[in-house]
Formats: sequence, C-alpha cells, structure tokens
Amino acid sequence: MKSLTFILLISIMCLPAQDMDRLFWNGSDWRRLEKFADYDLELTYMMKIAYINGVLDSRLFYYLKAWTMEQAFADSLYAETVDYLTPRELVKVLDNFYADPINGYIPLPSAIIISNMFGERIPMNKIDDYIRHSKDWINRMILEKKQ
Amino acid sequence: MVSRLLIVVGFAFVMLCGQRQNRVFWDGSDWNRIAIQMNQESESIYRVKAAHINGLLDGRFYFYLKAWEVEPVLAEGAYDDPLDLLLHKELIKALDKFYSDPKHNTIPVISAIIIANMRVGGISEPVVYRYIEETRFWANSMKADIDSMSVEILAAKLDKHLSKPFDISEKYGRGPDYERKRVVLKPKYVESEDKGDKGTAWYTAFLQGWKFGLTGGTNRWSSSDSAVSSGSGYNFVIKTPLHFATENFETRVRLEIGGIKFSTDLTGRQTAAYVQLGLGDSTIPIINRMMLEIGMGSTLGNTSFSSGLLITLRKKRLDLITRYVSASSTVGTNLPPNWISISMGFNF
Repeated sequence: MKSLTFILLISIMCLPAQDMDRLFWNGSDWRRLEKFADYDLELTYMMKIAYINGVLDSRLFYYLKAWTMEQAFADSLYAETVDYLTPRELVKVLDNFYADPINGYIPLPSAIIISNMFGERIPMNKIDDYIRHSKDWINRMILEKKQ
Repeated sequence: MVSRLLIVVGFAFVMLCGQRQNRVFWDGSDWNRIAIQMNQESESIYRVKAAHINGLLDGRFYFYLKAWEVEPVLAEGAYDDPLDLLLHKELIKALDKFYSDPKHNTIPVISAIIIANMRVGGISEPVVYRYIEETRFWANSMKADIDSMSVEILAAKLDKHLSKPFDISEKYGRGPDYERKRVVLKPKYVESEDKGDKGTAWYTAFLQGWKFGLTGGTNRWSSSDSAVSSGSGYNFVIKTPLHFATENFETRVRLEIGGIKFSTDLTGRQTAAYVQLGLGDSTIPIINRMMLEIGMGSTLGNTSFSSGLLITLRKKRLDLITRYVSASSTVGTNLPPNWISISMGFNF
C-alpha cells in the first residue's frame, strides 16, 4: 500500500514537470486540441487556425523588425517558405504529420515549415534531414533549458 | 429598363460582397470577430483567443532562438519587446479592453500584446500613446501598399518560390560540427548541384541547364546576289559554369545547328557556337534582353567568324539577331567572304 502511494505521489510530481519541459506547442498539444474543444470540429479548426495565424503573424512582425535593422540578416533568417499552403491546407497537412507519433515532439513552428516543404515538393531526403535536425534541435534546447 | 438596372445593382452587390480587404496581421477586427464566429460562447472565445496568443508567443520564441543561434546581438535587439509580463487570462482581458475602442481596430494583435505589457511594465502613457500611433501608421501604410501592390507581391512571391534553393542544409543542417558564421544570402539558381552529391555524371559539371529554340532569316551581302539567300536552324542555349548572371548582367553560351541557302546551287549546313554577354533583365521597355555576341563555326564546311547583336522580346521567347559573318575560306564553294545575317528565332 505504501509503495502504491509512493508511486502515485511520484507520478503526480512528474506530470507537471513534464509540462514544464515543453518549450513550444508540439504534436501532443495539436492532437489534444480536439479533446479541449469537446470534440467540436468547428472549434478545433478555429483553435488550430488561430494558433497557425499567431505563429505566422509573429514571424512576419519580427521579420519586418529585423529587416529594418539588417536586411541581409532578416532575408536569410526568414528565407524558408511558410505561406505556400493556405491555412486550411496547413491544418490538414499538420493533422497528417502529427498522426505519426514519432513526429509528436517536433515543435509546431518547425512542423509548419515542414508542411510547406511537403507542399513545395522539396526532395524527401531534404525534408527528412530537416525533420531530423528539428528533433536534434528541440532535444538540445530542452536539455540546455534543464541544465 | 428596370430589369437592366436590377442586374447592374445585383452585379455591383455581388462584386462588393466578393471583395476582400487585404489584411497582413490579425488585428482588432479579427479579434472582435472571434466572438461572433463562436456564437458568443465565452469558453470557446477564450480558447480561440488563447490559441492565437500561444501561436504568437511560440512563433516569437522559436524565431528568436533561431536568430540567436546565428546573430545573438541582432536577435537580442530585434526581440527585445516585453511580451510575457501577463498571464494569458489577464492578456485576453487587456486585449478585449483595448479592442473595445474601434479606433484600435487596425492595430495588429501582436502590437496590442506589446502595448498591454508596456502598460503593466510601467512605461509612461505618452510613450505608449506614441507607440500606438506609430503602429497605426505603419500598419495602415502597409495595408495601403499591399492594396496597391498585390500583383507585384504575388510576382515577388512567385519569384521567391522559383528561385528557392533546394539545398537548405546550409541553413538548417546544424549538426554537431556546425559553426556560427556570417549570414550568406541564398543562391540565385535552383539548378546548382549539391557539392556533396554523389553519383552525378561528369558532364553535369559542364552542363547546368539548357534551352531549345528555332531560328530563321536571311543573309545579305549584295542586293543582286542575296535575293534568294536564306537560312534556318535549331539552337541550343547551354548553361555552363561560365554562365553567369547578376540582377542585370548575363553571359551565355549558345550553340546553333541548321541549314543555309545562298543560292539554288549553294546550300549546306552551318554550325556555330556563340558567347553572348549583355543585359539579362533589361529595363528598356519591350526589350527583355540585349546582348552582344561573338561566334565561331562552320558554314558549308568553311570556318566562319561572327559578331552580332541579339535583342530578345516577348518574355525572353523571341530573339531578333543581326550578325556580321566572315568566312575564312571560299575555295571551291563560291561562298561570299562576308555577309550580314538577319534572323528571328523562337525559344521554347
């Protein structure tokens, strides 16, 4: 009985800690939206669109700001395409992308870039490279944050 | 008469309904529209607004980290806005209050978040007011620019897409051996091969693209002799490592193979290679390209040299070429020693 209580306590302590490790919304948040929205498809879609628009607006805002500071830096840093797909298409591609659990911990901003790469028909080996580097990058960031 | 009027009014109404205003960022009107779209259900409204704020903050943090890896100083400068002094719930309340004033409708949501955080952070009201006015000014001017420049923006987006390098490994391939370095602008052509690619044929080092075209025209050396003189041919424009292009200047290597007819008993084959250089994207009206060229080849088995002017029209499809050609030897062929070739070609 004591050991069971101990395990329960540890589990309760670990759950919030897991949440803290996440730097960005990722696949698990994306899939969880449906549950948050009480399986209301319209609300789920609206939340997904709102999030995507938030990421894209933020990117554009800081691109413009960086552009006023140093044009070459901004153009190079924000060179990737994020607006090849319409938001509706992007939601569908992201749904498919995160349906694979192995992609679950890739941050949503990276997944938006990857989805557009799929849309642009960039060679698969390049996309796979980018996915692998995204995973390495987010793992490194989380480890650095922990340290 | 009345039915015609009804049709016109109906058409105008449909056109008005079909018009969409160009919007760059989500702003106050989008923020306030969430409530209408969610049928005033406060829980749903809160969730959608929270999702948008999460997106904004995630996007900012993500691109800040990416920027910081390349240029920490610039990243610190660009991303120095205070955005995280308020909880989501407080932020949504502050934004609801801010956007309840219709004159703030054109302020982007991300700017409104900065404004809310400035107020909480103790920034004086005149400074906040100035920030709001500046934001309103640039947001409105950007909207006006986009309204008037939609076509150019679409063209620029297409150009950006077409010139996008497939090799993104330099930018994203940050393995363990990644070294921080100065930012390099993307290469212009997508055709350029990866340096590390294996299994590519040897000739790819010399051949980086090609185009095909047809040419036809007339040759002139004296009015009496050249009445029936004509020529036609195929041409290949080959992009080689020597093919060089900047915004305006361009060099090309062009190969032409075809037939030539000086008179009924003087016909044969002509081949030549040309090096062309000049304006690649001319700003002169109608003319897309204007290049000088020098060439060397064979006309009816005799070595020939040429110099000429090439003008390209119709989206780089239609070539007008004038060449002064000299043949090195005319023994046994009665070939004129030099002539002017005027031809027209179409590129596919």
